[in-house]
Amino acid sequence: MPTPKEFTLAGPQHAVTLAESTSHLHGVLGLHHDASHDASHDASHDAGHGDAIAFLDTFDWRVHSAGFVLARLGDALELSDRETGALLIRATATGRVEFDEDLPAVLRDRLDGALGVRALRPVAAVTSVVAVLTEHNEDAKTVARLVVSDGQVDTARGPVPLTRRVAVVPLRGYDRFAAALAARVGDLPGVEPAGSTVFAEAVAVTGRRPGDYSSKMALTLRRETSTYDAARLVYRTLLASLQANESGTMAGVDTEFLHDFRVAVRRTRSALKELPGALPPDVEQHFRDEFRWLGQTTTPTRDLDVYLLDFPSFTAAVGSAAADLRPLHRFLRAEQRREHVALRRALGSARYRRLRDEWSLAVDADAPTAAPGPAGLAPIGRSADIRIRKVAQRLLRDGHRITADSPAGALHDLRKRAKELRYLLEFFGSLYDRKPHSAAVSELKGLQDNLGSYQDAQVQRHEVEGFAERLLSAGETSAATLLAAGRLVATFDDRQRQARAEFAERFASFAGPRNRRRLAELTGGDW
Amino acid sequence: MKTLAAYNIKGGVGKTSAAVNLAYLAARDGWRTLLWDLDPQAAATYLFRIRPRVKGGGKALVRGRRSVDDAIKATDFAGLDLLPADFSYRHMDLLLDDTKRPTRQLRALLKPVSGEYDLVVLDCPPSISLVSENVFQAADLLLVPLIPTTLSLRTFDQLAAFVADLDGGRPDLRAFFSMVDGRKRLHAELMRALPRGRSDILTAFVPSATDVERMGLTRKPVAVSKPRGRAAQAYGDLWDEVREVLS
Ligand SMILES: Nc1ncnc2c1ncn2[C@@H]1O[C@H](COP(=O)(O)OP(=O)(O)O)[C@@H](O)[C@H]1O
Ligand SMILES: [Mg+2]
Repeated sequence: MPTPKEFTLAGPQHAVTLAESTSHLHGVLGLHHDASHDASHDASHDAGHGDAIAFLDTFDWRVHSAGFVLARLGDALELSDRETGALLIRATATGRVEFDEDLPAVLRDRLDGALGVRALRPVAAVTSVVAVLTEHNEDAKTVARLVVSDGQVDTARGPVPLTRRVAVVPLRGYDRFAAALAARVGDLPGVEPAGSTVFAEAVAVTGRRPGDYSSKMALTLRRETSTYDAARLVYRTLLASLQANESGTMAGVDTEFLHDFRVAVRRTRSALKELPGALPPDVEQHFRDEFRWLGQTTTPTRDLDVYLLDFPSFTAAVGSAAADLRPLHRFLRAEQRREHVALRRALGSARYRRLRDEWSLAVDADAPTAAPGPAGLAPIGRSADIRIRKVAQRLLRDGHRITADSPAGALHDLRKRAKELRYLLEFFGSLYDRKPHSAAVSELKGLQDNLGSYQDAQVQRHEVEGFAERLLSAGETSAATLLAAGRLVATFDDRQRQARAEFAERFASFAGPRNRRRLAELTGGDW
Repeated sequence: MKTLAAYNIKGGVGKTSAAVNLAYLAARDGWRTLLWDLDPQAAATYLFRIRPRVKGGGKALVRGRRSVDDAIKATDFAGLDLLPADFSYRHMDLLLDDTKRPTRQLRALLKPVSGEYDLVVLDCPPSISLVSENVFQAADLLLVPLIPTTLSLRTFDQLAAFVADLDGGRPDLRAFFSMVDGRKRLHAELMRALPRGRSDILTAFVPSATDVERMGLTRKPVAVSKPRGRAAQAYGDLWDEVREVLS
C-alpha cells in the first residue's frame, strides 16, 4: 500500500485557519477542492471534529517494540510500520479490541503473539479536522490527494493541538503524480518535511514515551558509590515501578500489572534482606514487615490469575473431559473476582498509602528521611561482590545437598535462593562486565525455570485438590467434574516428576566449573 | 475474498451499469473492492475515468508475466480499485487457451491479490466463450441482468442448466430485472406473472432511469451523482440483496 509523504506547516494552528491554509495551497498548487470529503466531515461535525483516531498499545509498548503502530479509526484497525508510517494492514473490528484473541486474524498473524497476555489500551486519542485537495489529469481523474489536517490530542488537561500537517497521498497506479506533487509542496515556503509521525507527536503530548515502561531493571551504578546511595536508587526505581502498576492493578486491566507490581514488591523485600544496614536497621525492619504484608495481600489474586491463564492448558491436558472442567473455571473466576475486590480495598487502604508515602520519603534522592545505616558508607562494588558471592555459594551448597529423596520443600527453598541471586545480579548488573554477567544470568535462569515448573505443578496440584474439595462441600459439583479434576492432578504429577528428573542436569550445569569460573571472575573470592 | 460477476450473453442489458454501481456501493460499505473490466469495449474503465490500458496487454497478464497487482489503478473512491480493460482483451480467448488450465486461469490470476480485497467484481463481455467459462470458475455469484421479456427468461433458464452441469465449484446464480420500464405493459405483466417461488430472481430491480443513462456523461456511480434518485435507491436495494447472497 502506498505511503503518504507528510509535511508540517510552520506556525501555530490558530494563527491561520485550516480553511485559509487550504485555500492558499489550493491556489499556489492549482489543485481541486474535494467537496465530497468535506460533506462527509460536515456530517460528523456535531459529534465533535472529523476523524477520531485512537492509537493502541500495551502498557509496556509491545506493539511499538515489535516495530508497528496500531490505530483504531471507527470500525477499522490499521497496522503501520513504525518507522516509515506505511500502512501494512487494514482490518475491520466492530467490537471491543483488547486482547490478542480480539484481533482480526490478519492482525493477529502479523503481530505474532507480541501482545502476550497484555491488554491494548489507547495511548493517545487524536481527533482531526481535515480538508482534502485533489490533483486531476485531463480526464478529471484524481491522480493525487493532499490532505490538510489539524489534529488535537485529548489529554487530562483538555485538548492539545498538534502541528498542522499536509500529507500527499498517492493513489495506486498513479504514484509518480504524488511524487511530483510532494516535490512541489516541499518547495513551498513555510512547509517542512514532517520530523515525526502523528503517533509520535500525539504520544509526546500525553507525557509518555514509547518504551518508558519496562519491568526490567536497568540501573547505572558505579563501584565507588556508597551502598546507602545505591540502595536508595534501587528502592526508588522499584517504587516507581510499583506506582506505575498501581492503577492498572486496581482496574484489573490485565494480569501483568499485578504481576509487575508484585515483582517490584518482591525485589524490594529481597534488597531489604540482602543489603542489610544500608539504611538504619529499625527502618529496614519496619519496611520489611510492611512489604511482606503487601506481598501477602496480593498473593491470592495472583495465584488465581495464574490459574486462569493456565486454564487452557489444563483443558488441553484432560482432552475429552474438558467440558467437565467448566464448573471449576466458573468457580475460579468467581474466586478471582472476590479476591480482586479485597486487593483493591487493600490498595485503597491508609496502611498502603502510608507505606508508599513514607517509603518514598525515606529513600528520596535529595532529602531522604532515612539516614545511612551501619553498612551505608561502604562502596557498593564491594558490598555487591560480597552479597552475590554469599548468596551464590549458599545456592551451590544447598543444591548439592538435594538428592532424589529430598522433600519438595528443599527444592522450594532452593528456588527462593535462586531468585535472591537473580535479583542481586539484576540490581547490580551495571557494576560487572556484560558478557560473563549475562552468561551467569542465563545459566541461573535455566535453573530457575526448572525449579519454577516443579513448584508450579506442585502448587497447582495442591490447589486443584483444594478447589475440588470446596466445590464438593458447596454441593456444586458432579462426579464428572471431580473425575476431570482427578485427571488434572495426574497431569500435574507428571509435570512435576519430569521437572524433578531434569533438575540434576540443570543444577550440574549451573554448578559446573565453567559457571563457577564466571562467578569468580565477576565477584572475586574463592570458588 | 468473494467474486461477483455481472454476466449476460447479451450486450446492452445493464451489466456494466450494475458492476460499476454495485462495486461502488460495496466499497462504501467497507468491502475492499476490485473491479475487473474484462470487456475490451472498456465501458467500466471509461466510467471511472481511467485509461483502458494494461502494460504488456492482456497477454502479459494472462501468461502471468505481469502480475495483476501491477496493473491495478485506484479509482477516485475510497476502497475501490480497478483493473482496467485493454484493447487486447478481444483476444482473451486465444490467450487463455494457451495456458495450462485454460478454464481456471482467471481464478489463478486473482489469487495473489485475494488477501487485499474482500470482493472482486467482474464486468464481463457479452459472449459465451472461454472467457465466460473462466468467469464461471472464478465467480461465487453470477449476477445476470434481465430485461423483462419471455425470451430473456428462457435464456436465463438455459444458462442455469448450463451452470448446473459445470464441474468444479459451481457459482450461485441470480438474475435481476434491469431497465424496467413502468410504462411498458409487458414489463409489468411479466414481473407480476413470475412464480412466487423463484428464488433465483432477486426482488430488487433497476428501473429504466435517466440517471443511469447519464453515467456516460457524469462518469460517476449514480449514488454519487444523484444520491437520492430512483436509480441510486434501486442499486442500493440490489446491493443489499447481493450482499446477503455473498455472505
Ligand atoms: N437502468 C437503466 N436505465 C436507463 N439506461 C440504462 C439502464 N441500464 C443501462 N442503461 C444504458 O444502456 C446502455 C447499456 O448498458 P450497460 O450497463 O453498458 O450494459 P452492458 O454492460 O450489458 O452492455 C448504456 O448506455 C446504459 O447507460
Ligand atoms: Mg458492458
